[in-house]
Amino acid sequence: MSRRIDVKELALGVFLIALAVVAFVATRSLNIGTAADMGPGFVPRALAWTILGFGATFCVTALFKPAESLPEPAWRPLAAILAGIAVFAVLFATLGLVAACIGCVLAAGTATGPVQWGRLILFGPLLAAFSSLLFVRGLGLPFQLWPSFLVQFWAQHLSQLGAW
Amino acid sequence: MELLDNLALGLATAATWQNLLFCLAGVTIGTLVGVLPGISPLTTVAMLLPFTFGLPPASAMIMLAGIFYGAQYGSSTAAILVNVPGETSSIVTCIDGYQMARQGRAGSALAIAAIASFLAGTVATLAIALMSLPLAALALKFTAVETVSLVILGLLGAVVLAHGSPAKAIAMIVVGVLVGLVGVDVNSGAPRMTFGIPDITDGISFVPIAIGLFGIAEMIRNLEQPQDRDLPRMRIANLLPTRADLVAAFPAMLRGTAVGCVLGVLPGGGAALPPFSAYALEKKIAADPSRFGKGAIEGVAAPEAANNAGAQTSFVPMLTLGLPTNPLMALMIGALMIQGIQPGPQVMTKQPDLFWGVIASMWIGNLMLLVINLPLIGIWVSLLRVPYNLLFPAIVVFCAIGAYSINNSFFDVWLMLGFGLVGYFFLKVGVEPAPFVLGFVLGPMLEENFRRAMLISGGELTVFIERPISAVLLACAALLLVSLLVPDLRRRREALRD
Repeated sequence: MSRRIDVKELALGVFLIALAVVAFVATRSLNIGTAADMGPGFVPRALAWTILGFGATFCVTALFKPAESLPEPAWRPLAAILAGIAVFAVLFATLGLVAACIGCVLAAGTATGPVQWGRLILFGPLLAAFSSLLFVRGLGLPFQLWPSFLVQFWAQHLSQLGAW
Repeated sequence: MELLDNLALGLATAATWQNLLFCLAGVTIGTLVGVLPGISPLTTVAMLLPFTFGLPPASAMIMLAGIFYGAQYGSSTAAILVNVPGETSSIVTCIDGYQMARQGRAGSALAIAAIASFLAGTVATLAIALMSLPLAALALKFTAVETVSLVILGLLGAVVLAHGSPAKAIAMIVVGVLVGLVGVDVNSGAPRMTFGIPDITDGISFVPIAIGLFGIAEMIRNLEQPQDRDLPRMRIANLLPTRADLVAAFPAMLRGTAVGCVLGVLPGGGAALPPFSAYALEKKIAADPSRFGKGAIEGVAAPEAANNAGAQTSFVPMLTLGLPTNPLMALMIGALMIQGIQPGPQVMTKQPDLFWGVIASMWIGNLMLLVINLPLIGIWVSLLRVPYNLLFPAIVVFCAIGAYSINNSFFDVWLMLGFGLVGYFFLKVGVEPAPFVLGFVLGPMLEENFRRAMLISGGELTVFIERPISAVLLACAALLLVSLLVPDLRRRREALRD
């Protein structure tokens, strides 16, 4: 007889068990209390037990279901989009919004092939300009736009120009 | 009379210049994202939350609501002309709408869809006004015990109407509640499950989770499929429906509206259920069911009316009980909380202008949709030519900015990334993120009231069935669970999904 494992359900079951274990560890030092006077740990622990129960059940039922394999993830879009967000977060924190927009477009743009680099290189600054105008000028959100060294450089440069 | 007073107050609020402008902005943006496949109203609302920080609460809600029903409307345009549903709500509109377009009746189909939406919007506005007062009056009698039962009923309702395995959906709700409890415990002040991360001591913020689970995860899935789109080559002549079409469509519109009004209020109804049910009903009562799928006007009118009516009445539980029936309403609750308003029955008594203003704005917004959409149809169609491979990097950027700007927190951007990954995992193992999100939003409310109820009753669970309102609510919840076990109902639910 062929393998009869529903890998999708098994994966979910394992995920739930892992989650319950994390919850148990995280709540180990919290007071549980009694049903009439619950401590902070009562409800989270009850939920973690429930999740553990669901996870274990899915792991067992997965063995008796028609075989179903886990669909192959689309690695390329997955990596590109997540990398785009990561690039945005890192660049926004260090170099400001303009660099973050350009970097994010370049990274996320590789999600589908063939990558049209020319288009992406043009589109990044366009989107950066649009976002800057909309969020910083328009909505007045306190975002850093440019890298601080550039701002300093400009400030010096402009003051020299002024003195000149 | 009170009803008229309330509606008058609402109209006065909604018809100020500022609110008219935000309503127009909302429905226009909504139509835009509705036409474009691959960007959902939920993502849009999440991205646009930063725009609402500086606005008065009524203007903010009016705009966000406009995005929601505007998107339902815009997606039908794409469905009819290109056979691509912009959103799940108009999948059924594709069936007969696209056939009508191929027969050269695109103009008639678009006009009927517009009129059906407007009619449904008008009726739904009145229905909301009628339903809200008694519901809110009932909700004001609620103690912690009734609140717990209500939340349980709401969460189980989401399971029954969701797709796929009920057991998995219930598991996702429990996971959502657990994640919702992360942060400082209000009763004892003890930090719970925070792993020492200061960014989550006040709880995990909802917006990055919603954008990650829905916006990012679905974008990745969209990118898996090839991005070819049939561009519309047909000319749209004659935007006036024939008299025969109108006569045939009118009763269908009314039936669709009724179906939508009822299903929209139910928890977990989502965007797909009302139009699907309305289409099924039309097919069932038609004298000649074989016309459906070949360009039957009723197949456009009824689902379009139903999805618009459903979109509007789904605001009722959110505004009157503080109970979101779908993830988008959960996001609306988030938007209200940013404004410092705790959704619930008090909103109606303490901020009647907000409540009635939002409801009246829906009617005005539907009128605007009718006026701006039919003449501008060419512009909306040309939007479909925007290549998705330029659109999605822009969406990533706006999602990241949206997630960051809620709390000016980089942690939230990383959180969005993490939940994007989790959401993709959910998609791959075949569970829906919606039950998780509802559990997450309602979790803290559920725990707080449960603990209070247990404190009052001295730890006796029987208190939930001793109080009449609570007992009725729990009986409804039990009934829902039983209905899942009845094979016939279950089969019909599966059939509806296909």
